[in-house]
This record gives sequence, C-alpha cells and structure tokens, in this order.
Amino acid sequence: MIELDPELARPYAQALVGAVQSQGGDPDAVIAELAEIYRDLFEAFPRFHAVMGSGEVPAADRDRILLELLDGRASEVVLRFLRVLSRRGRIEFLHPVIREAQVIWDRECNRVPVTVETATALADSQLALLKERLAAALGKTPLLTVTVRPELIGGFVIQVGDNRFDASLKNRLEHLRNRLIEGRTYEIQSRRDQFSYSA
Amino acid sequence: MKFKADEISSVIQREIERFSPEISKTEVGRVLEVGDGIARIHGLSGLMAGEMVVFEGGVKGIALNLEENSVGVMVLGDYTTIEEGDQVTATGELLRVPVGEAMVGRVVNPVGEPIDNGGPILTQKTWPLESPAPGIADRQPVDEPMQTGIKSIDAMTPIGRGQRELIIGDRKTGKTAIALDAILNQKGTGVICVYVAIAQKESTTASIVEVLRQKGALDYTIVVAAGASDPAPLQYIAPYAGCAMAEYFMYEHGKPTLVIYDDLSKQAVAYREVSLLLRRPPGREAYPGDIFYAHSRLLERSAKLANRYVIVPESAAGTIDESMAANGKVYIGVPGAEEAAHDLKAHYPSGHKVAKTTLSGGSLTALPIIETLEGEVSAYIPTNVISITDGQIYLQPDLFFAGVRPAIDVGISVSRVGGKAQVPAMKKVAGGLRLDLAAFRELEAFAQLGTELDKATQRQLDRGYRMVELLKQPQYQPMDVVSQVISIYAGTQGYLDDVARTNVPRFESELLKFIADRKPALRAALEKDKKLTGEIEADLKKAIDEFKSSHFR
Repeated sequence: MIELDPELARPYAQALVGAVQSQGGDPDAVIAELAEIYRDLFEAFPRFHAVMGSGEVPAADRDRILLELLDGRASEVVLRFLRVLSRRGRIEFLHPVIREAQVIWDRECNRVPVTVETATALADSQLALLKERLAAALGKTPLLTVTVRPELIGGFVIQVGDNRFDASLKNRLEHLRNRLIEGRTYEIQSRRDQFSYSA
Repeated sequence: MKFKADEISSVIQREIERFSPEISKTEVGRVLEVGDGIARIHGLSGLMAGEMVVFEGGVKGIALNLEENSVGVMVLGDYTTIEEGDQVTATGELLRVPVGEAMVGRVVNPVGEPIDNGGPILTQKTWPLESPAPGIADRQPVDEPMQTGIKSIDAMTPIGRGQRELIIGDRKTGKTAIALDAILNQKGTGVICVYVAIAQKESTTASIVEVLRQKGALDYTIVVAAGASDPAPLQYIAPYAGCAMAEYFMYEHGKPTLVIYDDLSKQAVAYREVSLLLRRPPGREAYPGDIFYAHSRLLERSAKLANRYVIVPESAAGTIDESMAANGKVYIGVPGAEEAAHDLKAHYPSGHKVAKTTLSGGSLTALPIIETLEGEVSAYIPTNVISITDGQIYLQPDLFFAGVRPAIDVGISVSRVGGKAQVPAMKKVAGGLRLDLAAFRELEAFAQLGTELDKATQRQLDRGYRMVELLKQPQYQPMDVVSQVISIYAGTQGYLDDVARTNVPRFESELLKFIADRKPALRAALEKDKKLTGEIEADLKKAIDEFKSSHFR
C-alpha cells in the first residue's frame, strides 16, 4: 500500500476530535467505532473500498451508499464524518485519519502508547507493577501493548515513542559477544610479534 | 594462533559474575522505503543531521534529510540487505574512519575496510569523516616545495606543501599520470600520500595499485577506492575519507601529506544522484545547491599548519615538544618565529636556540582532478573547483596527440602560491620560461603561415622548439630537482640551440649522466642549498661546455 501523507490526515483528525468533544461525546468511543467500521467494512471488502475511493462514482451516489449502509447502525457523528470524508474524496485517508486522531487524543489525555516485549508472559501483578512504575517514570498514563518474544531469553524491552529501553538477556549476550570479538582483535595485535618470529 | 579454552571461559565467567540488570537506551526507527543507496526512516525523531545510524544487519548510514515525519538516510554499504520495516538505531556519533600507520600500504574502501585481501587492519585510531578545516591562526603561508618530479610543473606551475592545485583536462590527456608521478616522486621524502579513486573502473584502480607497488610507492601510500559499481553514497564520501586519513598524519604527526582526488567531477555526479533521490531541489545542471560547499569544505581542509616554536637549551636534540620551552612560551607561525628570535636575543644571550616542535607544521597538499567535456572549462563543476583551488594545471588534448607529454597548456596553467615555495635555483633558471613558452606558441602559429622570418624570430622559434622537446617527460620517470635545474639551465641558456631537435632527449640524459658521474661536487653543491650562486653557475657552464665539446656527438 502507498504510504499516505499524514500531513493531509492531520486536519481531519483534529476536526473529528474537536467535533466529538464539543458535542460532549467520548472521542475514545468514536475512534474505536471508526476503527471497527474500517476493519469490518473497508478492509473486509476491498472492492467496496475501491468504489468509495473512486472518482468515477459520483459523490452523490457514494453518499447514498454510505447512508444506506450505516444509517442507524453507526452513531450520528461517525456517519457525518464519513460523509464529509467521502464528499471531499478523501475516504482513502480514513486509516491514517483514525491513527492520527488516536495520537491527538492520546496526547490530550496525557497518555502514551508503550510496547513491552517480554520473554515469558507477565503475571497480572507484574503488569500492574510495570504500569505503575512506567506511569511514575514517564509522568503519563501508559497504554501497554504486551507481546511475548521467547527469543529474548529473559528480561524485557520497552519502547516509548522512538526510545527503546533494552533490558533483555539477548541484548546483554550480544554485548558480551562484541566484547569477545574486540578482545580477540586485541589479542591478535598483541601477539603479532610472536607471530612473525614463529613464521 | 591458538586460544586457550579456559581463557575464553574466564572472560565469560567474569562477565557472568559482574552481571547486573542493565538497561541500554537507544533511539530507534523503522525503514519506510529503501533503494539506490537511500533509505527513508520513520521515527528517530531526535536524530541529528549527519549522525550515523545502524541498520539491523550492521550496515551503516548517515542522516542527510531531517523531515517532519521521516528521515532521509544515505546507506553506506549493501542496501539490498535492508528491508522495509527493519529496525534502525541511532548511534549519537558522527561517522569516523580508521586511521594510523597500519593504513599505509593498504587499499581500503571509503569506510576504511580493507579490500586488498591483506587481512584486517589493526588500528584503534579513528578520525571523523567530516572535520572542520583549520582556522586562520592555525595556518601559515605555503613555503616548502612539493616536488612533483615533472619538469614542466616544477618549473612553471610549482606546487607548495599545503597548496590545492587542480589538474583539469579532457578524458585521456594524462591527468592521472601526473598525479601518479607526483606520488612516485615522494619516495624517501617522508610525505604520506593518499590516492582516492572515485567511481573509476576497478581494472584501472587495480593497475594503478600495481604500478605503485612495483615502484615501491605503496610503502608510503594509502589507496581509497570507491569503484564504479559501488553505490553513490560511497563514491560521495570517498574524498572526505581520504582527507581524514591524511589529516591524521598532518595533525598528530606533523607530517607533510599529499592527497589526490581522482576525480571530483565523478564525486559531484554521485552527490547529485544522492541529492535527487533524497528529493532535494536540483539547481544548475541538476546539481544540488550545496555542491559548491561539498567541494569547498573538502579542499579547505588542505593546509600548511603553522610551525610552533619554543626556546630550548642549545643541547636539546631529537624530539622537541612544547613542555621543553625554557620560558614556558610557545610561539606560533611566522609572527611567532620573529617574536621568538627577538625574545631569544633579549632574554637568553647564549646557550639557547629557537626550535620548531617536532609535531607542528604538518601539511596537506591536495591535487584534485576534474575531467572536462570537449575542453569546456566554463561548465558548472570545473568553474567551481577552479575558483576554490590555488591554481590549475590544464591539459590539452591537441598537445597530447602532438606528442607533447605531459600535455600542459602553459598559457592557462597557473599556480597562485607555489612560486613562493619554489627552490631558489629553479626560480632563477625558470623565471621567464612560462611567458617565453606562451610567446613561442603564438609565434609558432604565426610561422606556420609560411612568412619570411627575420633572424631573431627564427632564433626564438628554434629555442622554443627545443624547450618543448626538453620539457617532454616519459611517464613514471619523475626527476629530482637538481637534474631539473641542470636540464632547464642548459635549455634556457641556449646550449641546445645547435643540437638537432630529435637529439634533445639524448643530449639531456647524457648530460645528466655526465654531471652525475664526473662532476659529483657540482651536484652536491646544488643539492646542498638548492641555490644557483655565481660560483656554481660558472662551474655548471664549464661542465656543460666540456660535455658538449668532448662527450656529445
């Protein structure tokens, strides 16, 4: 898929969050609903996606399709937002817009997505402790995504934004390996003289 | 070599004993797209311009474009091993290349890895690829000659240590030959040479390395090679890498160095490719806007570093460093030398002397090469580099095919600072040579019209033909400066006027042999101060007369 420019998605995302907030709605719920629609409708039926994104189909027809499909099933603000996107011919930006809206809303709520990779599954108590410590360290509410990667052997890797904190055994072993290689080059260097005498 | 098993296990054991939970913090991003030596990275929001990044497989890159949502990275190495979604780590460092004595005699790629099958290069020292050029206070005027061993250059466009002299000409006019002769002539002078081959055919580079090896020049030369099939980023950084390797010897050892960039027009093409792929706006001839800066900052790094002087006891010998200063003062550069002489006279009436510290006064001489198309020196890159350098040696295809080799066009070749560094004897014998030859070229064109010539003009023409003959020099035969002075003296003083043009080369070689064999005292006197005093000149005249009358037929 072509990477669409998030620059274009940002104003729509900002407007969506603003609209929901001014109506007293819950942006989290709206974003989740949009994500569900995207997953169940646009992703599940690529041809539908193609029709909706096509400039060949008149805007009025696309609008009617959306109304027929979603009226009554989706909340009012979601339907209205989709119709605005469709009318502007920006429906293919739906996915970046959802992502961008999530980022904007997370920032406003002082939340930050954190991915945690561990070698073995964490117990609930451990997770709670981790969450607590992260919240204290970051000064923000962490939104944890936990994945289990046995190849880490032990320890964990935490990524917040672009910063990656690696406390895994795999990383340590990697360091050890590099140190051994360095030691070996030193060894070659210090034994070079012996080498030339024996030869 | 053997490694004892317990040796290794003890290392591991030590590590295990010292084990404590330790968190390494890195900044990461993901590859969005990659190709043609360029990668776009998502993330790495704290990256700095020019910072080195490392891809998952260990390939390195340099951040060039910092945009709002992505980072444009130049990949230094095999970009085909990098895939979309790969993790990229910031290193917080600038790219550095290995330097040191172990590099000498080796052929390396632009990141300093050996490519000559000679085993690993064992050096711990590194030098930043891009480092700021020395400032005004750190430099001093060019005052020592950098002998190229080529008569026409050392006589008419002399090069000084620390100078930047451009070699420019069409393809196949002998540009590389001049550079190679200059390297060969540095044998035994303590000059460290770096030959940077940019986007050249691997076969050409291989034959150059072979020539250097056969002539024993690899003992003091580093070859940095980015082949024609290497990705553009490597070709782009090659000259900076070669410069860094020479800088180490200049700054840390106070040595004179000579760097050949062969050639900068190809580097400009490589940089244009990288810039266009990074979507930087194209300018004239589609080169990026900072192509001038790319060349000027490279050539600005050539320098003659200021000598540093200290006042030391008369007995001091060997290595002199700043801690030996009798009054704790270090005098820098030419004004420093004057001040030191004054202080010596005022405060140390006897028993002391002014000495240069051993590690000061290094130099980096650059011979950039530019290839022109159809003699077009007013194209973008040639004009840029001509304006940056301290003079140029222009090679003419017409002269080359007429058999005048090296095919230097004396009319438009100049050296803006080298004259000050010329050996006094050479300055004396070759003073008016450049203008005389240029005048001869004009006269020659006129004479071809078949007009009747007066005697004086005919004589001037005859002299010119013989001088042109005398300045011809075969490849790989650099000549020491004393022989050059003798040859040119014989030519300019008219000793060749009655020798047939075809006999000029024989006359020259036999004369030099005669003086070397029979007049060693004369050579030694010239060698000593490199000055042509009245006495030596009289001896030289006598020697040439003797040779002409009794040995040459």
